[in-house]
Amino acid sequence: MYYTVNNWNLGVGNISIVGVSSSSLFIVGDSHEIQLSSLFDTPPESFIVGSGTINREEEIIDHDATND
Amino acid sequence: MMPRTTNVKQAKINSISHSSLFQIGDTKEIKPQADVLAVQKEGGISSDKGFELNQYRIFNTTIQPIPDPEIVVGSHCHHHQNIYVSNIDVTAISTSAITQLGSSKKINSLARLKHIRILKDENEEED
Repeated sequence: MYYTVNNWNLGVGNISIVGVSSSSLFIVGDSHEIQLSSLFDTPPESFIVGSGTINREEEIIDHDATND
Repeated sequence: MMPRTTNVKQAKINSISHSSLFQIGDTKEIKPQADVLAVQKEGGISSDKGFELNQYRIFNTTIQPIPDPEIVVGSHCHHHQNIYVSNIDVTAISTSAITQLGSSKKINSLARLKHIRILKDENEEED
C-alpha cells in the first residue's frame, strides 16, 4: 500500500489534559512507529477479606499466585 | 524525511511519576517500562515482604509485538516546517506515560499494574 501525506499549516491554541497515564502518549510532532501496551489485573481473589490474623511475616500470598 | 519543528509558547506540567517522561526535543527511540503492585490493607502494611512481584503471572507474561504483515510505504511532504501550539496544560503524567514536544522514530512503552485489597472481617470490626 502506498500513500502520500501533504501537510500544510498546523496550529493549535490551547491544549488542556487532565491525565496521561499507564503507557499512553501525548505527542506534539511527527512519529514513525508507536507501540503502547498496558496490563491491568484485579481478579476477584485479589480482594481478600480477613485473610487470617497471622502476623505479617508468615502471611504468604501463595494462594493468590496459584489461581491468578 | 525531515521531521517538523514544534513551537510551543507555554507548557505547564503538574506532576510526572512512575517512570514517565516529559521530553522536549526529538528522539530516536523511547522505551519506558513500569511494573506496579498496589496493595491496600486495612490497618496498614508494615513491610513489603511477601509481595514479591515475580510470584504473580501478570509480571512474568511477555508481550508479543503486533505482527505487521502488510508492506505500507508512505511518503510525507511538509509544506510548512513548523507545528505551532501556544498553551499546553497537563495535570498528571503517570505510569510509563510520555508527553513529547518534538518528533520521534520509535516509541515502545509498557505498563503492568496489579491491585490487591486486603480488608478485615466484618466481625473483626466490633472487637
